[in-house]
Amino acid sequence: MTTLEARQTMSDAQPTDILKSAMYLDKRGRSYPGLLKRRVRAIGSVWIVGLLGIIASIALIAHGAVNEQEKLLFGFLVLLSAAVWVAATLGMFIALWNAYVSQYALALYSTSEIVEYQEASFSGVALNVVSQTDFRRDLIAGLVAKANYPKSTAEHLAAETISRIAEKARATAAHENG
Amino acid sequence: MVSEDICVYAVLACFIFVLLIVYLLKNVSVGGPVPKTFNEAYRAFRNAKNWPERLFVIFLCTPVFFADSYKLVMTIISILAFVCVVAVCGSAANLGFVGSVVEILRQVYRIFSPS
Repeated sequence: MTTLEARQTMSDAQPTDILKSAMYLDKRGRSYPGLLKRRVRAIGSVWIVGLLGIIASIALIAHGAVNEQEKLLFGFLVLLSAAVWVAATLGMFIALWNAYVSQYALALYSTSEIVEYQEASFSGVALNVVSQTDFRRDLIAGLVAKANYPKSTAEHLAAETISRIAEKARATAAHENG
Repeated sequence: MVSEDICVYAVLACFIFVLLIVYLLKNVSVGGPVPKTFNEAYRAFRNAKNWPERLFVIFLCTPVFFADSYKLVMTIISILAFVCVVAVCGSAANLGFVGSVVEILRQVYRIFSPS
């Protein structure tokens, strides 16, 4: 299998884990980025309601309150609006932090997946190299010559074989990728 | 002495506050490829092989931890706020807690009834 064939096989396969994670469909089939956008919009609208409530209540205290009791009520409204505003700010912070952590995790998963892809691609080229008759003949000739050395062991021969296959596969992959 | 109308408006405002908080809590939830509950987070922490991996799991679980704590605190605050407002209004009108709830419902009905 050449690098191009390996790449073709990968692209024809089912959605990869990283794609599944990136899509992250919930029970209703909604994807996570869309869900996050909807949540941020909802929290943002509550944030605006809180802010408008604070401004309106302060304006009412300054201009609309006729007696002490109404001032008391509008003061209470300021307190509630401020609580809503603070809660919405914290909620927005948590939602965005969650989005950041999710994206970080996705980036890590994608890195590990790229490494797996490269490993699969390289092993495909190595198998292709080993199946070539000329290369096998050269390899055996080289190993026989090495085996005749007085100090050569089985470990030396195995290391030599692996190193030659890896070198040839690297050169072939570099040639195919241009 | 606080008038009944002011009490009713205060309780209505508090009720709207509770509704807004409920809507907010519904939308603040954890999503994406991270642990979503304390149990999942704890399992991921237990399954981590070494300390760098455990620290990474803690980093991944921070939104879960903060979202759960935030929800708990906001729920307690909204319940307390509602109960306190009803109690204060009831004591201001010398009705007691249950009496004030009945009176507030009566006043709300009076405000919103067509006649």
